Amino acid sequence: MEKSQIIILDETDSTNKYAEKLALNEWEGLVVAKRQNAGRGRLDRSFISRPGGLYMSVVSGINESPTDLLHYPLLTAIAVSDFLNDLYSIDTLIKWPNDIYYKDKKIVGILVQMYPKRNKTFLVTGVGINLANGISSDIPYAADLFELTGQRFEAGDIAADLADRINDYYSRGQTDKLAFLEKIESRCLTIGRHVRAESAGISGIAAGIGCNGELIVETDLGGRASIDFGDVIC
Amino acid sequence: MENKTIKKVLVANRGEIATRVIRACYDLGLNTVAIYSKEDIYSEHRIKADEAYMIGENLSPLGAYLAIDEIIALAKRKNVDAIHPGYGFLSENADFARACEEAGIIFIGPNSKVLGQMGDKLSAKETALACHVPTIPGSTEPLKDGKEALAKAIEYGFPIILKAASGGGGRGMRSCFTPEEVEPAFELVRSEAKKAFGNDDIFIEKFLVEPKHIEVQILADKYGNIVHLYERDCSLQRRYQKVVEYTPAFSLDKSVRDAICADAVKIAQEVGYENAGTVEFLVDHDGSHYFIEMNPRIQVEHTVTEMVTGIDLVRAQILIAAGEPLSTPLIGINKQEDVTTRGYAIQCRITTEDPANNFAPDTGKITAYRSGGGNGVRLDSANTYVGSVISPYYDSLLVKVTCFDSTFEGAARKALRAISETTIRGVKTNVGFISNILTNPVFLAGKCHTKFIDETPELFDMHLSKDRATKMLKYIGNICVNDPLAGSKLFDTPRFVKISGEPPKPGFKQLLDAKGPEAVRDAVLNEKRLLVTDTTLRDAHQSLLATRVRTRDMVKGADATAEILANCFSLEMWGGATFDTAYRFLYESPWERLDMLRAAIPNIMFQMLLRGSNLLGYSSYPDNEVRKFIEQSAKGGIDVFRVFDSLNWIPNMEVAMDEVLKQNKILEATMCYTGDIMDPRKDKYTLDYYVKMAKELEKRGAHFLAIKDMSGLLKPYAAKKLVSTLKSEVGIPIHFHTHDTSGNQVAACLMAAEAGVDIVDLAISSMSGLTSQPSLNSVCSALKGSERDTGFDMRKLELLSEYWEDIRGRYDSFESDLKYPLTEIYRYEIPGGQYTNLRPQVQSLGLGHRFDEVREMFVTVNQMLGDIVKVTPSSKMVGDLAIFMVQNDLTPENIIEKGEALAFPDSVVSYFKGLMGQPTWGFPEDLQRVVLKGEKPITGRPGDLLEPIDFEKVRKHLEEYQDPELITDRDLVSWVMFPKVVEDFYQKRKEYGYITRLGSHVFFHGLAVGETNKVNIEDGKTLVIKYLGKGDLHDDGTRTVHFELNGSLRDVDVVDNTASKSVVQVPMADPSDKSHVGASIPGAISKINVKVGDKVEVNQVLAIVEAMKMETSVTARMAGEIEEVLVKVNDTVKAGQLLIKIK
Repeated sequence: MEKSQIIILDETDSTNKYAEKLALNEWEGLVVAKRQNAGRGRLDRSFISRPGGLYMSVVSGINESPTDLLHYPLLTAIAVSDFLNDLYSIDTLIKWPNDIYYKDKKIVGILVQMYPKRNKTFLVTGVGINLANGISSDIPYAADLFELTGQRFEAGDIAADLADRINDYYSRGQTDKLAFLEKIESRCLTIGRHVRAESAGISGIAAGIGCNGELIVETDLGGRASIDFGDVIC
Repeated sequence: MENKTIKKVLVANRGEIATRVIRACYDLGLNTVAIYSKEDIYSEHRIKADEAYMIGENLSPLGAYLAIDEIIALAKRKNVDAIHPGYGFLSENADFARACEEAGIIFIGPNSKVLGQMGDKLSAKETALACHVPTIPGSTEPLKDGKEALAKAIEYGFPIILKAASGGGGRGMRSCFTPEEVEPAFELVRSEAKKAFGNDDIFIEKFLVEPKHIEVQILADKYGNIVHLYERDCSLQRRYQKVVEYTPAFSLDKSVRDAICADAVKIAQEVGYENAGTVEFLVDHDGSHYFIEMNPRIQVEHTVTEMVTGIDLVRAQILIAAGEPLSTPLIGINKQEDVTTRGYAIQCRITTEDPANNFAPDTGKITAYRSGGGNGVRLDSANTYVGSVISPYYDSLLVKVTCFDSTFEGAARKALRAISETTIRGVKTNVGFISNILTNPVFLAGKCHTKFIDETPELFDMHLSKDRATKMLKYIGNICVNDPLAGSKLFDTPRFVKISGEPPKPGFKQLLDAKGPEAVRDAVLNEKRLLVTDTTLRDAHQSLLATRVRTRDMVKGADATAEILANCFSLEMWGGATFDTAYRFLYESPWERLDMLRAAIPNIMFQMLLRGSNLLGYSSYPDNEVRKFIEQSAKGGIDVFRVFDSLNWIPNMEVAMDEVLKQNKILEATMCYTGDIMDPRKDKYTLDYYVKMAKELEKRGAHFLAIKDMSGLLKPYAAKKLVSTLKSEVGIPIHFHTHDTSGNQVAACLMAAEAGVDIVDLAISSMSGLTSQPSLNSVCSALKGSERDTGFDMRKLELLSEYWEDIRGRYDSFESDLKYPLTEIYRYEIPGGQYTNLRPQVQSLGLGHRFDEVREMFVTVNQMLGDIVKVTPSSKMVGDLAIFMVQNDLTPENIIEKGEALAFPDSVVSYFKGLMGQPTWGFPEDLQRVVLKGEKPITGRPGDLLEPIDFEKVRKHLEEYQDPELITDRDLVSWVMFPKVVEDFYQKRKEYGYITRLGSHVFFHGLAVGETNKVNIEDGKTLVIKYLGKGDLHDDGTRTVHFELNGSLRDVDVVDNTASKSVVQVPMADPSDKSHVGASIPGAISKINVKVGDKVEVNQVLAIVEAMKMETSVTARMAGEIEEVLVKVNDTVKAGQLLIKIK
């Protein structure tokens, strides 16, 4: 990523919200904030963003149509997981679709937003990593990497590299799709657990990842179903 | 055949290749064991094997076929001697091969060591280098610096590509075409790589531009015998997936192919290869070939090699694994020279990828399957049979169609045949896409390279012209599905008149252009012949066929018309109802009709009918609009303007008349004829009345005087009297227009001719009579040899009539029921067209049983109003009032009293307000008061009270519908008269571009199954459409219709109106309509940010669709106001579904 493509903010409401305007104007790059005061998860749930974490949004323009990018949120998870594994020498796991866990604590939240434009599809990939932000005092099931590993990395040092890793995986999202999906399957802690998706009315044991990244479930009523949207409770 | 070591084979695969292997085993008399996952419980390969076992019950669909331990354990339990891994899955898995070896099971393929070696790209490259097979020139060590990069670039030759060691798939690489680019590019790639991958090792490689992908089939036994079975061209790839493969790669020189095959054998020898394998190369456009990799397994496209060599490769694999040498009879290769090829073979992979949906694989149950077959066609099917369910878990291959012939074109043609015979219903297929490839000239020349498909959008139907073609197919499909009579009648080609080919004879048109209207007038006065205006192109079909005749049919007969009717005074071809009808029902522009006819008929004057200040509409227009319209019409080629007023009120004609004179065109001022000048009881519309009006019109500068007998009331003797009197009273030529509803009007024309009338309106015989004009052929025959002989060639008139007879047949659905002359029109004085519509109109109001009352009331109303001229719009007003009075049981006696409490029809109120003008003898005051209920009527010209049109504002408004560069004054004047109709026309014009070129029988009646129709489009191209039949009804109420378009299969979905109401039709967004906001992915609505009435900007996020934990924004493509929100939060939506409408 070139320097000119990186925007650093001291504080913003949400890097994804900021990046949205950029995406709509077909600008590609990286937005990083030291602090977010209105960080967002899916369905407008809030994402607590205390100082000491990495809060960033990557804006990527991809020459594919929206229907070919459905597995990209999972791709993001693998990219971040691989990156952190390399950086910290740890083995992170993924909770379907793209929460990253280490030692049973959530360390990364990801929100991908898609903006189909005339010739390209723009993705705003929001990544929030608990590097050293003391999150565990706010949320019992989350923790930061410093607390869990004793290692400390600064957001500013790693943001651009993470963005490059994400974009690299995106560029291979079609050609290496199956390999990525197999990787996710092998790292997915949801598989084997009992899950429930209220809106789809499906509950059962998660059995695998489908060819668009959907979660395949052996339903309690027998038979298989796949979940591709809505909330999954595990 | 006795096999020494193999008796039972397990196929560790699924789908098409599993069936292929099982068949080869059967050919060798071996027992087969199939494995299948839970998802494949009903698959074909399971049923074809002798034994079949489910594996991987607790694994994912893919995982099941990768469960090495379970498969080996099963094989051991079932005493399997050998395992064939197929392609994909475990076929290149060295661990699996080793596990087989350790379990004492023969792995049908190379041994695990070779397998492992081939899997590592770097060691594969080293192998090639070791045996001097060219590889893509590239550095094997990381580059030291930019200078080294440049040196190597020069060594390899440009273009080159710099690649980061850890990069891939487009990231961390940069290509350079010139030396200057290299060093800066090197620095860039290095810094990118360091940041992204932590590793800044950079390699350099020669960059192949548009290479061909050529691979060689290798067969090797356990005794060191290695041969090649020639090459395959697999350049046709879409996103790295092969689509169509063929052999031989004929567009490459034989020497190049021989070299590649020889090198393939070298590689196989170097690694000590065994069994079947494929060596892949890329070939640059200069013919240099470079080794890429070796695939140590059987490949999908092996079938083409089998077809041209005659060698069964999969059977050979099993034999080799069993220890047979290549020379064994069932393989039959003693030496390389024993491998010969004959002819060409092409393999097409039919998959469920839907090109119209970005190749997303469709899933579903196959409800119908018919395959191709016949000479040169081989089928290898996957799970393709009626009732099979195509799931999303595995690849989307349905069937491989491999075709063989002695020439490439022949093989391609057979492939096209096989594909067009293939019917698969229940899932979408890529069959249309494949047929586009098979007919593509670059493909047929063998010149496709690996990026060809990605770079050729025409193949995907995304090209604009194909889009219009698809809309045309949708139009025809809609008729075929929804019109029960569609295609039931077969129409013969119309009898086109053979013309002499000489340029058309000059006529009055040339005189007008050269010398002006007065010269024409004087020439007409000096004519002895009776002159004719042919109304076939306007009033005739307006009267008989609801104004539906299309420009195309007019233009096709135009050169014959120019020749045969060269003697005509004019052709009436514009105005009246043709304007509105063309836009609204025929999707055509009347201006284009004018242009096309003008170009085809340069020698005859064009005439139009104009309703004074009402122009072609139904109310008065401001003066500036009247003038501008006439100016545009004159510029477009109208020469004669017949201007009339529906009440014969001259002030309403003034502005129009003045403008015609200003344009230096022929002004034919018109008197509408009503009443009966021979009836002494009728005291209003007497001879004097008409003489007075005629003189007034002459005074105002009219060049010609027209008698417009719109109801056909001017009887023969009355015509004689009227014409002879007028001839003595005015000095300008007289033009007689009538309708033959009573059957008397041929006689009326003849008597008018005797009395000296200058011109009469007639229609070609097959479009004449009854409510149309009298027959041209009849009148001319009658006058042959007389003083007023028209001079037309009678035989030629017959031929022209035959053309129109055939054309008229195509409009049969618009014919009225009238079969014989009606003399009752003398009583009712209703214009013919309105009269034939009266009964259906009355019936639709539930008054059918009182039709006679309504007719009589028409007479009564006329009297009540003081006996007025009845022609559109006044005639409609009289009809409306008559119906109103019958509905409300009103009489002339009680209407004043009862009328106080009633609201009169709009047309009646307009009339009494004075908006239609002033009737000669004024309004009955009491009735006027009762109708207007206190409103004050106007007494002057309605046009005087109208604000002039602001044409600039109109232009700005039209910019929403049309490219500003393309808006002309024609568009402005048309919009003022018919705003909604014209706006709709612009929106649909793009869609209907090709539809207007359809023959009328297709335009109105669709096609019969199997019928072919040719449509000529611009650039001299022709579209050949064949209707193949209707398909399945879908859950959303649409039905697939199958067509062949220029040899390619094309399916369209149209709404089936007979589908049951319980079927929910999901409205789909029209991608070309910016007011439509659609879902770009399937998912659930998670947020809606707007409501009806909200103002929105371009790019504003209107809603969010969620899928795969990704939120996709749905944005506005145009600014405006939210008109409709069709979904709510939590609704599930399909890709492309219409969510919001903006206005």
